[in-house]
Amino acid sequence: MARSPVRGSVDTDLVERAGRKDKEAFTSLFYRFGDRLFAVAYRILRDRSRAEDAVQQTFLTAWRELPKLRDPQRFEAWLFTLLVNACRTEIRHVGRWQPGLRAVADIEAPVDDSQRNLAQRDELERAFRRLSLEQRTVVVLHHYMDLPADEIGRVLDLPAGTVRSRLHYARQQMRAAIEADSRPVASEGLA
Amino acid sequence: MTAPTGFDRFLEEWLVEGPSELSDGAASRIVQAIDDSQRRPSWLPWRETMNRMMLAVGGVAAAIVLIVGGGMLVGWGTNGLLGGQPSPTATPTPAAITTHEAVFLRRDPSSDILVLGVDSRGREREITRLPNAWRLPISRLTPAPAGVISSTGLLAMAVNGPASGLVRWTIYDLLQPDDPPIIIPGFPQQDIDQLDYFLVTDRTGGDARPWWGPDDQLAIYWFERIPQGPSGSTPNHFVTFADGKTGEATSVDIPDDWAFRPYWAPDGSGVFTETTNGLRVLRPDGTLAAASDPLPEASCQPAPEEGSADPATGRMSFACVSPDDVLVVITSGNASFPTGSVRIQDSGEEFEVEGSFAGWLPADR
Repeated sequence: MARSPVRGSVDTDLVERAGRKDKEAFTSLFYRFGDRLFAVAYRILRDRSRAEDAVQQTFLTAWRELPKLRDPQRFEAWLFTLLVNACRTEIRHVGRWQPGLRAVADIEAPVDDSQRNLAQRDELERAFRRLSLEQRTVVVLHHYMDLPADEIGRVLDLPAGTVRSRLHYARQQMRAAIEADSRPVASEGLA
Repeated sequence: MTAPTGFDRFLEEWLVEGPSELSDGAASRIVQAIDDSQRRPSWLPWRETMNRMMLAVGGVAAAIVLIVGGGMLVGWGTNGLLGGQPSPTATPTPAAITTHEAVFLRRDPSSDILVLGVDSRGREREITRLPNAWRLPISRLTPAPAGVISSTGLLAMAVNGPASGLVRWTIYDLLQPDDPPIIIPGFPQQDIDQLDYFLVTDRTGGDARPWWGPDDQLAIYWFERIPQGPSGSTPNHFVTFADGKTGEATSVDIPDDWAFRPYWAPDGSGVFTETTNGLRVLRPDGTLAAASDPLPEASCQPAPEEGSADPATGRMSFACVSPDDVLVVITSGNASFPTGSVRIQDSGEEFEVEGSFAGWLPADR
């Protein structure tokens, strides 16, 4: 299931040109990394339009701030850092007002539900949505992007131990939520 | 990190599901946004909400399209809102419909004032930062910065004056944030305590706020304190009229028992004023004219259902509706710690914002 990790080779020349406000170079970077960022943002936010917004905001911030990036080799990790911040902005406002039932309506239909029944997916969806942004982020970066703790730590500017701890509690919390949902009386309360 | 478990595998399979590529439309919009960001003073992160907003304001939007198409609001189509470049052959399309963002002023510990725009999703963007504009400490004893925005994006705001405790009125162009601010002359003695009265209100008397009129004219009510006796003073009231584009200003000394009404006459000749002989229009040259027009309907109304008066100050909350009738800002808090909430009329969704509400900024979607 390994996704494209945040450690592949980066065309540093392209990054440096983009940092000098070469729009063509920056657009090339967008086409190279845009889908990957969107995939991660979607999995954190569980909403296509907000994931697109987060990606858009990420690249707009990158365009503005790229001249300040000292090490072009760190471009991709830096981009993911910006993405997490953009997701934070999105989720902060969504979480403030989104009513419980809204989240169900926002769930996109699974691409392939042949192996899992819908009830299981819904349980997992609900459990995941109960996680904090920080927890969602480490879960996605580890279980979807296949990144180890130290690399996640570099993206999130956290010690690897904190990443491991956060991941542990996120999984534990999801399991507990799923078990709770499986009981006869389940609460909605989606984030 | 940890050995995969059944749950982990289930989780990973579930995570793999779902879209992993931007749609062509989204990618195009983002590329366009990057392109636009070079021309705009700051990026407005709005776009796909347009469809939702179109549904929400469908009737109004359609009417606006028709009006714009009919050439009745030429200014909307040619102003290049927020720096956008109008097409010479522009035709009315949904993308050309304007909406507004709510603008709040927020001080930060560094003495800067942040001018923040809040969109229909509650997202904040920094429109501009006004460096060292507010040197007062943040406490209940000091008022928060306050300002008002014109329909063309000019922000009139009181900032630190030449001496401690005094303010001076300054105009910032939010659509051209790099332009130098214009300092309005003629406020030698307005002290900062007067901003304590500065609330979004249309009530007669007491409260005061600058008011924008036609052609970026600005009227500001204020008073200076004339020393009287060893420790007392009496207020001397003024209305200052200023040209928002140039800063040229003239002040009119008004009797103490007149009440400045924050409305311009529709023809821009002056502001409504309650005199001892009734409602009149006070002109910039100090003369009075009959008030032939009724007072316009207030854009902000008391909102007692929103928590009524602030218990510490007795001030009311006000509800201010955006020009396109899509958003409502409910003001709350007090003069030291103002807050507000932005509510979408159609859905009732609401976002809380820290800062003093300054008005609406037209935004090109």
